[in-house]
Amino acid sequence: MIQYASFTLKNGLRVLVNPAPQTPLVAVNILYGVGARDEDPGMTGFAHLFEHLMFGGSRHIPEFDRPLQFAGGENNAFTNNDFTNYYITIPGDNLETALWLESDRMLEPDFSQQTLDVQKQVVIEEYKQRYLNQPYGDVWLLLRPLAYKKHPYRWPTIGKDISHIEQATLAQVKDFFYSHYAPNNAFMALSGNITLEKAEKMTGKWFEDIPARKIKNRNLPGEPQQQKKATLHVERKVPANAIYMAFHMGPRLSGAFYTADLISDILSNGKSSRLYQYLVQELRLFSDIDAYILGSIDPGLFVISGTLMGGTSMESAEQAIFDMLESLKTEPVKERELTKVKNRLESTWVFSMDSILNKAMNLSYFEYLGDASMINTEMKKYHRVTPADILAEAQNIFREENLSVLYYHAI
Amino acid sequence: MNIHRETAPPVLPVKDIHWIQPEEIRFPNGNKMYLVRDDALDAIRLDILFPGGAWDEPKPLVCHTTIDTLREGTPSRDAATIAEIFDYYGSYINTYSTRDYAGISLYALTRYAREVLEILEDIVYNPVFPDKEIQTYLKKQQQSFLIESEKVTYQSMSAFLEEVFGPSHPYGRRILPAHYDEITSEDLKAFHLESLLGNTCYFILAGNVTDPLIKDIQKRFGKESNCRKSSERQITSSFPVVAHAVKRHVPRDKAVQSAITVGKRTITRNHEDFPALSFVNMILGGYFGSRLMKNIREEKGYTYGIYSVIQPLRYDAHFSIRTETGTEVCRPALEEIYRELRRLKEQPPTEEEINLVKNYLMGSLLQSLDGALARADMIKRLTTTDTPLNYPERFANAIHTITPEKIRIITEKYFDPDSFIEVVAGSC
Repeated sequence: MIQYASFTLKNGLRVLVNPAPQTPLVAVNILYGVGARDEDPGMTGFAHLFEHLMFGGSRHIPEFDRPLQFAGGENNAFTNNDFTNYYITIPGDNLETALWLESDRMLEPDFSQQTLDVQKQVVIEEYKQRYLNQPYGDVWLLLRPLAYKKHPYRWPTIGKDISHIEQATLAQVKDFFYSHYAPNNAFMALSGNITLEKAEKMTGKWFEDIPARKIKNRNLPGEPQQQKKATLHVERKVPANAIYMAFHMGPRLSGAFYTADLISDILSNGKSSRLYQYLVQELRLFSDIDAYILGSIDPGLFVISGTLMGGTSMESAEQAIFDMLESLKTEPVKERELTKVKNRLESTWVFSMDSILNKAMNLSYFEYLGDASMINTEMKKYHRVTPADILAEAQNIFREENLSVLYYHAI
Repeated sequence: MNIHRETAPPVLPVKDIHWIQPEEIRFPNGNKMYLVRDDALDAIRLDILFPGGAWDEPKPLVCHTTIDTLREGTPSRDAATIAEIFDYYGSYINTYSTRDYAGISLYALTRYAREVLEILEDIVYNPVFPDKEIQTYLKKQQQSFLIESEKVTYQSMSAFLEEVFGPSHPYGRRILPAHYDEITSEDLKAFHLESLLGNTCYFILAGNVTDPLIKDIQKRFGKESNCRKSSERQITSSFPVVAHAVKRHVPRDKAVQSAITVGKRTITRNHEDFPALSFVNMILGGYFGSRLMKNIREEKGYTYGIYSVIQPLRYDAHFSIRTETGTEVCRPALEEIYRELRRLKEQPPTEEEINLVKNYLMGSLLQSLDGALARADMIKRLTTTDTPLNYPERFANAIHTITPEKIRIITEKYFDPDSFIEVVAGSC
């Protein structure tokens, strides 16, 4: 059980507090309910660009990083398709420095042309480093629009076209901030060396006077049911052929999500998993293979990706994967195998919850999903999944007309 | 409430780093185990560290392959059975190897620790390295290596290490794709017996440590017969270490970014200057607020990130500034790197900059010691570089008492821009 208390400030800011007195540190996590899915199709990459701009100083404080470092704190942030997350860990004595900084940039970042120009350049270099200059780096730029036709998950957080970043103006950036960043669209969690009383007093002091704002309504187009298999072949200068298969699956808050997650573990979590044992060890068709879910809030993707051994054809690679999926659709999984993947999930969870930062991040995340208390029921939801659920969900997901495949040919 | 947002809240410097030296247990066979207790964690991690690494290898990759294929079978269990048992109990096995040592980590839920320790014992003492599994493993590794070695960062770093230590030195030696074809099961068996089991090894047990668990581990891994005498390695000077500045270019077609490595050989953690060297490195490029990051990312936008890193090894060490930049800004980025190196001496840090880095370093030291697994990682870093375990305190004291004069001396001694080796992979 993770013990926590929660309260809401008058402006709508949700605060979760998890006291852990054995550490001298405290983790401060603020999740803003805005991600790449909230972007205009003509202005993609904005949520992520904005994350960079949040470090350029704020209305009353010229620099974000320097005062935080002076207080012995570390910080970073990430953006995904569903939300933007900022986090700090800092000695408990200096917690107020973190709240001072976070509250001022929630009030208003410093919108300067200079910061915007430099960060646009930094994001363009990030784009090159991660997406263009790595073997297989452009996979998600290709696979997302293949699998999604309407939903904004069709572009990655970096944006669908880097020209959107190049053309971003200060006015657009300001507009983005005031439509998405607000105390009433933020979820803050504090974990570590802190008491509830101190948290109430300090968050009240620094955050209460930030006005609530009108958040742009989220009215996302649903992804229509896929009607037939979608395929794309590309040729790249890489050392080996690779295949990426993406099936549509249920949303984060559905029961199907937990079943699909366990199916992905049966397929590829650990060396005893099915894909590894049969396709890598026994048949030696792949040098590595992985099955995973994207974990997005709206209906997501179940992905199987593999790097082919020299001598394996694309057709036989794909067929071998289909054969593995077929057995999941026809034979109920044995109890021992299901217990195995549940034990592994539990152990991953136990180790990850040893960190105050992970606890703070998860509290914010579950509160954003609707209720922080899910942090304590998550494992139970996995435990409830039965072999019959697995069988039914495998039949539901692994259908040819539900599939998009990217064939990545080495030249 | 009346608040002044322009004014920073008061900051308290970190005084106590909460470092407790770990309890130590010595097994009858000479092996040592460190204990890092955290009863709140419902799990344990056991690390076994085998000194030796590339120094003991008859040919490249033998150490790495040996540690990584221990789980490919024993006389009583095949690879699939071993994998299934670890997985069933929610256990994770990680193996790792550096040029100095090899190691294996077991992650286990407390309630299943005994079940998986039995398997761990079996694979550590009785691996059979079956031919078919080993050849499959090597083919996979070779393919992953080909992908990794396509990256400009890999090309730049490996050329850099070759320049610093020389191509035949264990720290400078390159891995080639052909090396994967040359390994046999016999190599692994010999290395397992002579290096892994032949040297004194270390254990680090972290998490929910109980007496029955300690006894169980001691029973399995502390037997008299299992370990030979400790052998202290004599490092001779037969490896030429290159000390002169050179510039090297690794050509690459069509890369949109180039990877820059600028650096040199430096001192190990046991040298008295090491904490002060870390301090000056911090100012230059050791954190997000460093001079290099401020100039080259935050002011010029030439890169997504630039860092300088000291890598202390067991017998030697290297220092390097690393970044990836667009090919069109590679030249200007290099010029700025040298400008910042010169500026260390010409514009020494102000009192404000010194205090900032002091506080930041102390905060990050506190973070690196937070939690049982983090403390176990620190012990791992220290034991594998032969550093005494009071090092965190020594480091904290040195940082507290550092002076502008000491910074000046360190800058002159270790950051002379003319002494640096420069490697660029990609056009520049």
